[in-house]
Amino acid sequence: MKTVEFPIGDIHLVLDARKVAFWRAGETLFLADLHLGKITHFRKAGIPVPHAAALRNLEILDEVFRDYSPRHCCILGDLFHSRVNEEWLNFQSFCLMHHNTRFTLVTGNHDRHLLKSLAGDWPDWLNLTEEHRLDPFHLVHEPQKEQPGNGIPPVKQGAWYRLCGHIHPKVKLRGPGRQRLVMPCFHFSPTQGILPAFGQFTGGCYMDIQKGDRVFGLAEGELFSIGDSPSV
Amino acid sequence: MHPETSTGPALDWFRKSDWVPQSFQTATWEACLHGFSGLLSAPTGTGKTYALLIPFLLEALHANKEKAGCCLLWITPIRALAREIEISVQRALTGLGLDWKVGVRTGDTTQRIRRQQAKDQPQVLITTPESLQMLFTQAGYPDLLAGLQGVVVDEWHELLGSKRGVQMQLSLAHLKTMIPSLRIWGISATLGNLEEAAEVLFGGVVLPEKRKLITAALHKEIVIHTLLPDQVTTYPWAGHLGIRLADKLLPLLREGKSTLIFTNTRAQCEIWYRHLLEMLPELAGYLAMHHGSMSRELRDWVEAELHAGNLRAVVCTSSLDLGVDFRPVETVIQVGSPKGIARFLQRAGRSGHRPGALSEIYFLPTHALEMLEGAALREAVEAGDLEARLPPVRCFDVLIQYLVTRALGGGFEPRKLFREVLATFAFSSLSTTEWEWVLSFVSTGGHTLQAYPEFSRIVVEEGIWHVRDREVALRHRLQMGTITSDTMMQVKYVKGGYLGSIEEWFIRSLRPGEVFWFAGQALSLVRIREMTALVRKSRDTKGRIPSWQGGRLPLSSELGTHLRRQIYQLADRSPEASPELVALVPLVQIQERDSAIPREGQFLVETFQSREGFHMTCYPLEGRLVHEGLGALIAWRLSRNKPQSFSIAMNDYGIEWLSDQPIAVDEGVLQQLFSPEELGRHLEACLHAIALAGRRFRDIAAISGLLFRGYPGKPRKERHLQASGDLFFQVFQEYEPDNLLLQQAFGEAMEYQLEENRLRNALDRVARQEILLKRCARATPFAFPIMVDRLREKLSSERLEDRIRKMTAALEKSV
Repeated sequence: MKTVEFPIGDIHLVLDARKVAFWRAGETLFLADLHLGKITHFRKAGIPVPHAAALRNLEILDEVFRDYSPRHCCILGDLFHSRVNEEWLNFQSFCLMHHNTRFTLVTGNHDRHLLKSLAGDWPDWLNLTEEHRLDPFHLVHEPQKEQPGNGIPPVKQGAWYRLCGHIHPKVKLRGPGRQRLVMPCFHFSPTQGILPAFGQFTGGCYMDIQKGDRVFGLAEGELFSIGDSPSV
Repeated sequence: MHPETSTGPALDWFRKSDWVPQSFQTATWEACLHGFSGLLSAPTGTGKTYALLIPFLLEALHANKEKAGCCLLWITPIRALAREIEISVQRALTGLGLDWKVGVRTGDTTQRIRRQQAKDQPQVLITTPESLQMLFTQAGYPDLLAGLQGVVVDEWHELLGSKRGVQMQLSLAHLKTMIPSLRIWGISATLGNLEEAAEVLFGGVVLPEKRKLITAALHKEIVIHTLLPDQVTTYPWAGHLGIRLADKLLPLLREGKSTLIFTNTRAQCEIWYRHLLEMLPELAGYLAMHHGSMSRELRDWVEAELHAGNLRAVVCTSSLDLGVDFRPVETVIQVGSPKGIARFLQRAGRSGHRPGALSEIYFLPTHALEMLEGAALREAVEAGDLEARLPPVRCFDVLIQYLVTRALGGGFEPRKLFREVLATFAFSSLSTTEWEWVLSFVSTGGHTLQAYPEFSRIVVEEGIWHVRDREVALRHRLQMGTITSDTMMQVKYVKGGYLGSIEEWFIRSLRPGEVFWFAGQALSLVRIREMTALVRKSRDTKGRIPSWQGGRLPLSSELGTHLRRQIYQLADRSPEASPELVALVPLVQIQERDSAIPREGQFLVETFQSREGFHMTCYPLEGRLVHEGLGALIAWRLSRNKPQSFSIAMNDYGIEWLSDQPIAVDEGVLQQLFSPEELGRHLEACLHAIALAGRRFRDIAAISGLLFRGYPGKPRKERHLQASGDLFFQVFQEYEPDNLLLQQAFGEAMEYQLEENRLRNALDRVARQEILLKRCARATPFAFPIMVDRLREKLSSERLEDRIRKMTAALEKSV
């Protein structure tokens, strides 16, 4: 499947195999961890990552915008990888071209380099925030630990649902013997959803799957549902 | 060179030391003095060092003028040996009264000594292949080497089959270009393909007419004793560690003054060490262990104690194989199959080093069928059959690293460098297109037509290619070399004290407080801090043994051939049969009753049914890797006739397919299944070529400088430049499918992981044999070891979706 309708209580999300999630009711597109500029950063340091891969990020995003025409685009952190470089200008052109869409960046750890580079000269077409409440979502960059008792009150069912990135989640499936499949995924627990890393040339981290989690793996341009427990 | 140089001073010195020069030594002196390059084949401890050192010293004596600068480069692949060689050289310098200095320059050499060497250059410089390449990155090195007369590459058999050997070839081509009169000599242990070893060493750098091949014809009698159980029927038929036979070792250990016990894996080394201590508590304090993941300090201590005669026995792995001019030990024991004849011989040669003395080695089989290996090894040694080492070629990762190295140390001119590179064996088939691809990879970042200004590695100034970026230079120097390792975690005591390293996945599988064994010590994990596991000693005697993924060599092709011959003899019941064959008679009787013993010209295939399902087995004896490929191939071919799912297991001896449905075969079907036709195409179809290539690519990415591991001591700086080999593999596949590094990965997967050539030869052989199909009532003694082997792989002819569905079902069950 290229897309999956995924309800979280009353909320309806469309998960797209291009590693974005669209919230119909709010006409809002969610994505995370683009790490723009990473490939150029490597190339500047003399590591020959293919240049074509750098351009692909925005090409894909362009297709996504054509399919969903979002009014609001929320980037859940790590928009840019390191110090600003040419790829920032490409992103700027992209955003100005889609002037009907409001862009919000929920800042992540990598974005501080971008902030430093653009100190004082922050563009007005990109809202900046550390965390954002967009009813019914609580938007942050880093996921929070789920265990009760760590000081953060758990999100009640039907209340705010946390959406985040940062982890670049991957799921590892084991078959009998030494068969293994590794793929990036969307990872939803009862209280928070972690988006896969959107950027080309981003690594990832394996995630455990607990009881009650819903996970959607991404392979060969398709989404695969992993886990048949009833929806969160 | 000075052909008129007298060998007199050397003969005098030998006489004074009560040594007799061997004929191979004088032959080498002659050849070298007459300006030849060459390859000397001589076993350890026979005086190979003096065979090659003396001629250069004699020339210096004869010339009798002050020679500043380096005259002789001695390359050794093992840092630990450098000191031994230095001592030998110093002894000769003193003995001959030559006013020369000898120095060592390896990764271990301190700054202070390096500065000393810079001020007062030693005439004989002992170094490693990596340190030589490092020298090429330093400005002004041609002046250092201007007076070089000779290069000696020691332990060439060790370098020959690896990428280090490829790097060495490049270095030699460069040195010869700089100094056309340079003499190049290699020293090798006995090899199966000495001519080829010479070809690889010299390539087009030294023409055949300027080479001499000299073999030290020293015959040592080797006696092989196989430790046999009292009763074969009670001996395990399947892979245990032979612990049951351990009591046969006791008399050897009790009486022995010094014993080496070789095991095949580090895990086995740990297990045997513990077990022997339990069986013979009086050995405590006199028994040590030695393997590659223990810290250098621990290993040095063991080696020193062994030298000094303070240890009665050491349990070790191939870590104690390499050619230290070791005091000989009295007894050598090999636990389990040595997997190869040359390795076995080398270990046997450790015992009884006195000239004319016997070399004795005890072989301890770890399961019943393995007893045959004792007889096979005996036969192989008598026939003089040894493994050939296969040299890698067209290693683009090594070439890329080399270009950056040359760009650092003064720069290069591409056309000149291309000619130099073409002269090596490894790159003699390099095409102009490929060379240009490599050039563009390091200069424009992968685009032959366009230059992207942001890419900065090598820049071109007036036709010379340089590295000008300081960061690029620093990172390159930190990462040079072709030895790559898995992610290892260091193991240290909380209170300090470094024990060694263990693969990361094992440490991460432990809970804090959990006990495991390492370096012969029970340890409990306290906590993990970055890439270090902090531990403390534990009194708990039960603990997990770590395992290391590397080092599982398959049975060699040559040993396999001899093993097959032993099997064919099993049914003979000849009165001249070896003790091993006699001991196996009870097992043979069962095999004959339930199945058959194949003869030469027959290929045995068995089928039987059990509670587990329907089984089919066969016994090519071609080693684990070939069996992996063959197992997948046959299963795939079977599934084409009728979709069927198989579980495949294999060991060095044979293959087993297990299915929940009957496996429909007869002699005709089997002939087709094992046919060599369309092998290449079918292999590609049935194997996860991408997964295999991906694994090979990790090393390739590291060697070609794509992976940055961070600055030592500053792990946080420049984390933004870190990416995994897998990530590069993915991105190249998608955006640069013609990338030569990718092709190298696929090629290496076919050759080293699958041993494609060996597989093809096996099928060619089977095609000439008669298929002997036996439908058996139950599992046979031949089948047993395979069945209990832990490697199982399920091959499915299902699609990706179905695979995922099945696996997630399994995953849910475990949650």
